[in-house]
Amino acid sequence: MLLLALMGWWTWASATGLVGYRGVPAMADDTRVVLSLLRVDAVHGDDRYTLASGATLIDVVGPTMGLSVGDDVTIGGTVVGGHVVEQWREPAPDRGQKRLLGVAGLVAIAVLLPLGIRRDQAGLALRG
Amino acid sequence: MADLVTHLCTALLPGALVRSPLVVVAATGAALPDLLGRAVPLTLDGARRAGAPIPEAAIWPWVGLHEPFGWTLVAILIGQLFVRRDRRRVVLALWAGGALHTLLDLIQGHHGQGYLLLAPFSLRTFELGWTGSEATVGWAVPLAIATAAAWVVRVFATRSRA
Repeated sequence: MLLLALMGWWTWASATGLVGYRGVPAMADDTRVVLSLLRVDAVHGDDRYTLASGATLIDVVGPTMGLSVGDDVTIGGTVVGGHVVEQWREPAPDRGQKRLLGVAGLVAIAVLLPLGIRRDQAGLALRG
Repeated sequence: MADLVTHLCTALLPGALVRSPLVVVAATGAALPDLLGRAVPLTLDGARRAGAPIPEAAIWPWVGLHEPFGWTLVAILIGQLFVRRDRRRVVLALWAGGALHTLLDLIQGHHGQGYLLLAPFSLRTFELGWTGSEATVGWAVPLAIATAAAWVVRVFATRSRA
C-alpha cells in the first residue's frame, strides 16, 4: 500500500513538474536551470536544438556544432520565453558504455541469483 | 548514477570474504535501485519512442524506486517471496545493498542536480560531487576483474580446506 502511494506521489510530482523537467518550459523568465544528462532529440540549424527527458521536450537556444541526435548532454542556462538559453554544456560521451555495462550487470545478476537462492515449496529460500 | 557492474562489485568484492548466500542477495540489493528506477523507465521510454502505446505517466512512478524510500519498500516486498525463516535476513541484505548503491551514487556530481534522498518528505537534493557522473565507467572492468579474481581465490581456498 505504501509502495503504491509512493509511486502515485512520483506520478503526481512528475506530472506537475515538482520533480523532473516537465515544469521547465513554464518557468518564469531568467530562472536558472541545469538539465542533467538529457538526450538530444533534434537539432534545428546552427543555434537551436531540442532535449528530451522521456516525452518532455525542451527547446534550447545554443550552438549546435558537434551536437548530434542521440547525444547525451548536461547543460546550464536560463529560461526565456519557454525555452532554455544555453550558458554552458558538458557532453556525456560514456553514456553508451554505461548502458552496455548495465546489460552486463543484468546478465551477471541472472547468473548469480541461482547460486544464492533456491525454490522451496513455501517460496524462495537461501541456499546453505 | 554509477554503472551497474560497479554497483554489483561494491557488494561482491568484499563479499568474497564472507561465506554466505546473503552476498548474492546484497549484490542484488546493490543493483535494485537501478533495475527498478532506471532500467524499467528507460525500457518503457525506449518502447514508447519505438511506437508502443505507452503513456508517459506509466514511466514516472518507477523513477521513485531509485531513491531510498522506494527501494526500502520494494526490499520488504521481495522479502515476502521468501520462506518465513529467511525473510528478515533477506530484507536486511537487500537494504545493505541498497545503502551501498546510494552511497556510491552520492559521491558523484551532477552540477547540483543530486539525489532526492528524502522524497517524498523533502525535495532537497544531495550529492558530494567528488567524481563525475561517468567516472565509474573507467573503473568497471578492472573492478569486475578484481572481483572475479577474489572469488576464484575464495573458491580454491574453500576447496583446499575441504
